Amino acid sequence: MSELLQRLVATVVGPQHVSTAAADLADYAPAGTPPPGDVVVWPASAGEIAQVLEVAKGNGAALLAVRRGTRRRAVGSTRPGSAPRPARPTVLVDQRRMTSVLHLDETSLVAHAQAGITGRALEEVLGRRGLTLGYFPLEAFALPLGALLARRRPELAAARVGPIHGACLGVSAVLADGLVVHSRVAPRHAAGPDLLQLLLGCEGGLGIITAAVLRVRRIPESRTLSAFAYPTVPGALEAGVECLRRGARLAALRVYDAADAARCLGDGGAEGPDVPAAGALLVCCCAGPTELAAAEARVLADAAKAFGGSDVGAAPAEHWWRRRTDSEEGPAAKDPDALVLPAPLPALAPLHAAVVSASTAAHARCRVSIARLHRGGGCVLVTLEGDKRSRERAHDRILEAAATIVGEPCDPLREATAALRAVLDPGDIMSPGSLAVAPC
Amino acid sequence: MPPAAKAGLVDALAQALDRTRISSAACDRTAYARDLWPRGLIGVAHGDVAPSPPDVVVWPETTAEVAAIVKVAVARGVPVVPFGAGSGVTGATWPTHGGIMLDLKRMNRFVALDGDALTATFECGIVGEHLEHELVRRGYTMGHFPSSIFCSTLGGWLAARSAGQASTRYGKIEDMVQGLEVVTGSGQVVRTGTSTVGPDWNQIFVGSEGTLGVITEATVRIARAPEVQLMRGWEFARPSAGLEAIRRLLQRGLRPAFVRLYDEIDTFIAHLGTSGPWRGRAGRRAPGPDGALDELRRAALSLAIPHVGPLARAALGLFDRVSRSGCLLVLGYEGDRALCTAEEQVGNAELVRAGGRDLGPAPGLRWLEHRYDISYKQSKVFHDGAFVDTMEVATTWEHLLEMYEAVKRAVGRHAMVMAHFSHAYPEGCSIYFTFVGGSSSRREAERIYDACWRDGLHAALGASGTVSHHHGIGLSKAGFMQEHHGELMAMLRALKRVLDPAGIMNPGKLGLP
Ligand SMILES: Cc1cc2nc3c(=O)[nH]c(=O)nc-3n(C[C@H](O)[C@H](O)[C@H](O)COP(=O)(O)OP(=O)(O)OC[C@H]3O[C@@H](n4cnc5c(N)ncnc54)[C@H](O)[C@@H]3O)c2cc1C
Repeated sequence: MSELLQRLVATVVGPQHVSTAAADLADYAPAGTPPPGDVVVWPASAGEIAQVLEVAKGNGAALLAVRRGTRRRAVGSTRPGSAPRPARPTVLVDQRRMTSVLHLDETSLVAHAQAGITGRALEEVLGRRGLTLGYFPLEAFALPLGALLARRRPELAAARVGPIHGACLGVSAVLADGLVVHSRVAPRHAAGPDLLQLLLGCEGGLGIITAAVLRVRRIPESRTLSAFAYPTVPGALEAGVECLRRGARLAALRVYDAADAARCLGDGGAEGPDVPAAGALLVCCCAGPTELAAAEARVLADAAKAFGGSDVGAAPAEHWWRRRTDSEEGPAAKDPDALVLPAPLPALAPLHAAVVSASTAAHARCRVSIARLHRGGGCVLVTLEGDKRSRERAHDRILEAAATIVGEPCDPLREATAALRAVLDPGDIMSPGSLAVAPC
Repeated sequence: MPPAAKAGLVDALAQALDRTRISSAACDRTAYARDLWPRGLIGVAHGDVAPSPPDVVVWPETTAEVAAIVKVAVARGVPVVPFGAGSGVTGATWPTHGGIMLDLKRMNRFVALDGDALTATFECGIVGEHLEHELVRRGYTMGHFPSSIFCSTLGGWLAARSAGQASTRYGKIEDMVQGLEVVTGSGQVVRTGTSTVGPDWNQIFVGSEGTLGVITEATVRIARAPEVQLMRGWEFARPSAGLEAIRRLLQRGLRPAFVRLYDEIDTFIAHLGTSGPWRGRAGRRAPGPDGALDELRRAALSLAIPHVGPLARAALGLFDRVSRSGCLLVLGYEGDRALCTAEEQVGNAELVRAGGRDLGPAPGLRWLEHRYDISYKQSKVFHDGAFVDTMEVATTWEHLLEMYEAVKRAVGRHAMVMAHFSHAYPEGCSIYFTFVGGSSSRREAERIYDACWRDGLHAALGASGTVSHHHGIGLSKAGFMQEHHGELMAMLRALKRVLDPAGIMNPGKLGLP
């Protein structure tokens, strides 16, 4: 079957862009697990994906959008290695050849690019024009756009935009019936439900995203960095959140607990910031027109003082900024001792407390910071330390505690989503098994 | 509605809610037969006051009652039309297939406020003005100020994707929604919340115009009540210069609350409403509607109805004056005092750089004072056989001027047209065209009216615009949904099948069956 599929698909994309070789297929599976498909294809356009879909359909095969390199997960799948292996032949679609920037509209500040381009590659193109996607965590830039948008990722957020899918103004996608659809690009509309939102976050289950139009912004003309020490983490957090509530459109802010501040901002021979033992450090970046950035910095300083903070000078914040732009900030995604826990704003303080008590109960040490704050939420970033067993115990306890505070990933209208899939994809061709989560 | 479905409907509904809140009286059926769609108002001027009355009107008070009503409708195959306050201007509440008119205004309670999360929850029948009062007395604002705030509801805003006058700062209603309670077309009660997997259901029910379900409760984002409002007027030689200034301002990261740039004719009309020139002198009246519409009406009639000779001459004089009037920009910041002051400073410098002439605070304050006035005076226009309507479309900055010219040309073939640019975003802007035309014959007036919409929307869509920015689709633009969405319409039809399998929810709207 694989050979037949390979031959048929090769007529669409050319023989050099299709493979059944074990080494190629293994690129899309967690190490030590079987590949999630029988044939991998590297199409060059949405039209080719639509034709590959026709071939798959005609041969009783499924289609799974994947990305290469991570050896961990299918595009948009909820958990590492969780993309279920369908019980029938499966064609893997990797859009790594679809990396063109189709249009850069510098008047409207929108970029139209194919889904296979990584955030980093797009950021390079933008950077040459004085533009950027925004201050998203660096791990957002490692992903191709298609993967970035196929799953809702509350953890990949920037202060001014919120989660990254909020930057998406439109997509092109291939639907299960082979139609290539393009959502109309406009700042806003009142033309019924926002159908774009059926494709974003749909894990390839309602359509494969082949291109996206994203809002971009000009690289700010000036930046003011500041840092404040606090007796407690909740105090620092409250000061930062207060600025957001007052309407300051900060570019980025982060709260380190004392241990994380010492570890992250005190290396390289320089002295760590002056933070009380059980205290915290709030670092913040105001960016934009010079006068505005300065005014925002003043609002921040006022809030900082009102919440018991003391100004520790800009140096720790400058250190933070270099770290966040030079290297992967926060715990690396692949680090088993690292956790990234997104939560709404009011849940961040309880979540932080729960993390600390769960790790204490497990006799593990943890360093914590609260980052990626925006007016809708933020993330508690945890790095576990101590012996292996207590780290593992703490890891599980923290996840349990987090689940009770913020809940598991869920779809409040799970049955409707399943029914929609059944209507749009009666043959269950597109990413079978996707979107299968618990109801909220 | 087929007689079989009708028989016993009231009795069946009486199982769902108290009989005193069910009516099939002729006066109620007439009152709910239409919204404020101007095409309907042409009919009204000719005595057709109830183009499509519902069979029954119901006033539920709880979500459970709404669910029970929908279940009755499903069992009998009777249409249900959710009704907020009927301020819609697209025919979205016209019960074209008869059935049950479900007025939500008795579901008007304030439910909760979370000052930490900055969210508030209300039942959806609450009228905008009351909603804002609930927030203001607690020290907050929703920041949603449609001109119809006194006669529209939260549910109507959500269902039609409404925009308020301060949308540049606070966003449109879809930017504010955090969670919904909805009774779907099968009578099931669902809560959307923030989904982390699958579609963003908030954004699916927002804009659904009652075709997928009834929104019964909503949680929306709020803000702290502003400490200051800094208003100002500016004059630009041409719309293009004003637009360029707005674009630069927003793309530098500034977020004024109010941004309204009037083209030459709209500026002139605004100017007419003053007792003296608005040009920045304190004490003089800045733009306002009084009198302006009268002049507009006379001008329109003179253009549209050739036998009104002397008025035609007045119209020519009007256009001569227009060409010299420049373009007025009203711009205002609100929020935290220190931040707004800094924003205004940076913004002013940008506007001066772009060639704007500072008119001082007076025009801005005057606009603020009268911002809800104009809309309620329009009906007079219809009495003389003329019509006035507005077409609000949006696109990215790259296509904005092209869309402006294209729509003006297209509609201008049939009626007098002017525009202002409001609801500005870093990536684009909406244009609000006002067009006035008419004829003493109803059929001819409707023909001209339809031609304005047909040609205007084709022009907007052809210039990469949207079919609507904030009034919604209803009946008036239903025929343009396919052109707006293209093949994506298949997804909307699929949604309809899933959420309203019996096809009873507000049939005929949004280009759906
Ligand atoms: C003078 C005037 C000024 C206006 N200014 C503005 C403006 O500045 N900005 C703006 O956006 N609009 C404006 N409008 C248009 C109108 O006010 C909006 O479309 C508003 O959102 C309609 O609200 P409503 O409660 O009156 O809804 P209705 O007209 O009663 O209904 C509108 C649509 O929503 C559906 N609907 C209503 N409630 C619900 C519910 N709870 N659940 C599901 N569906 C529901 C109806 O079925 C219908 O499809 C203006 C209208 C007028 C007459």
